Amino acid sequence: MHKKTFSRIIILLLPVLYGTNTYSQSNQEGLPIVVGYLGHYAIQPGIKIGTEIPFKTWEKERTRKKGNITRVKRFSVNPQLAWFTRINQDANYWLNAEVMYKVRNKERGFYTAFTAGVGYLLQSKVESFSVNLATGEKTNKQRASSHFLLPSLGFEFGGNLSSQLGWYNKYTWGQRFFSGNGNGSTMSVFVELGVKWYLFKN
Amino acid sequence: MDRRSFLKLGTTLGLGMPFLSSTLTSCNQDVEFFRQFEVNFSGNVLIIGAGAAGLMAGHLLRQNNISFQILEASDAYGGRLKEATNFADFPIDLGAEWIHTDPSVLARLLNDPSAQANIDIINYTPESIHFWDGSKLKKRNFFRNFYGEYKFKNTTWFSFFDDYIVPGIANNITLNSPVTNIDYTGSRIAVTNAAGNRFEADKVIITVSLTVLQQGSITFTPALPQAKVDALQQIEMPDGIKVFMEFSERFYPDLLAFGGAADLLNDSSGEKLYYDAAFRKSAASHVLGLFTVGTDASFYTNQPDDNKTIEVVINELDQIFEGKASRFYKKHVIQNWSKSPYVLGSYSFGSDESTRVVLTEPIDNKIYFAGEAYATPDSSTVHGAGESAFVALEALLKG
Repeated sequence: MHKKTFSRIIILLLPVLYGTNTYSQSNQEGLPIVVGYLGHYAIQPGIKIGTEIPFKTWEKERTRKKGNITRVKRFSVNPQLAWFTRINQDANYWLNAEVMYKVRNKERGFYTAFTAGVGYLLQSKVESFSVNLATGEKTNKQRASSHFLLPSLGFEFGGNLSSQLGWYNKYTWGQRFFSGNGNGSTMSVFVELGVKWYLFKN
Repeated sequence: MDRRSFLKLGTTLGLGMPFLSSTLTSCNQDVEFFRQFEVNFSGNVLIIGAGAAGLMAGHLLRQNNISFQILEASDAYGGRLKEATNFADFPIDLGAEWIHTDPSVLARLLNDPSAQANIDIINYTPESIHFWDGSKLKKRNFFRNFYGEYKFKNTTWFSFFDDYIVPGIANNITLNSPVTNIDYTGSRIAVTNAAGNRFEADKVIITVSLTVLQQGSITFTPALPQAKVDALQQIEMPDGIKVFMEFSERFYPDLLAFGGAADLLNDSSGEKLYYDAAFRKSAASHVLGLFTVGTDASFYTNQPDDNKTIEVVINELDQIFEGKASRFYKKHVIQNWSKSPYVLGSYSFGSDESTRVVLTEPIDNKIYFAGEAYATPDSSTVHGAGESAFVALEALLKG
């Protein structure tokens, strides 16, 4: 791995380390393990795993006609690893760290959240290959790699499936920068659908 | 799948197309590559036209030990497969260029399990895609996520046929022999060419370009059934031209489209693209291609001569790229398919599948049709033309 690449990864991981350090055992929501289908433009399939490490949580109560509603508001740092592919064309590895602002209805568990992240994307493309004229088999794939900085903004909502399991749906818009191919920036849109398994929940 | 079908399907399916095409590609792996025919026929066959379908038909007849002869109107075989080998440091497709399906179709076309060769293929997924709206060049690189075809890396469609299909049938090809009449009243079919030479055969496969039939360049005795005549008129074969220019420096994106995304998706009246012809090729030269068909193409095909054509093309590029085209221009080659005497257009456009089925139907089990215009579902493609030859041969050999 290039020194530059390594240092980029370290910079990206710093917020994660900070978040881990500030993680509180009194956290009511627990530490979620997030696993989801990640679709680049919805349909280039992939998978994402991650977690959410809170560093500020507070509650706000509102009075409504039907009774009081308590909203739990929280900032967290979310380290994530993802892989997605355009089948037979490319494979993408995405290391991402994002800050999430989440507002959760304490009684119903439903939440909405906004995220801002910065990530490192490594793309491995199949540029060419050989076709055997006897069998049609494809071999000898020639690959090329590209590296990108990938800042992103996202909106997420989700809810509870059980006391320790939740679901979520997320939409992320990102922009790839600084690729070595001189083609400038490129927009990326991701759709996620997955589950959150809450560990250490009080 | 040809680009037009790709775009139409892409529009229909929204963003799902890339995944779908990948899935279809994967499914193609299960297709049985090598096809054997039920042969109840032992006479001789005349093939009219030595384009992709005509050459494929000859190749399959040779594989089945059937006597045949190919009559080609022009002075070269290939039809709309044509290449320029000396223009740049890589061979250039002056005709069909993209492979619009899984490239394993090459093995399927060759239909020879003993073939001992590999052929290098490019994943044609342009990295930089720009749009020219008439006043501003806009980067739309994200389109690369939804665009994907294939190309030959070190060779061309023409060379694929020339290297693997033609060697076995070269002695059966007669060039400069434009057919003028096909008389199928008797048990044997009589074919007459422009020089007045008469050929006889038990069966005839017609693979000429659609326009040749539409313009009545070949007369039939008796006349073609009315349903077939009607079907012929329902399919268009609009203008088409390719221009390649070499520049001393590269100033253009991998792909340049015109208008907006909607224009790229709506290709009902034609299409027009400038593209880096050297993309992912083993090449050092900077070659920009112009590919245009339909109403977009007519502006270029109707120029009085090649000098005027290159002038309007360079002027257009200068407007888009601030004079860089004329500054870095070195040379060009033009293939105006609309003015190619036995082609007279690009490829078939329009009509529904039922029309093409009517068009493909044999006449009296004597006259068969093959070519890109007769292919269902992959019309307008080389592999579609090849597949149509399989369909025609299957019916012909069954007897």
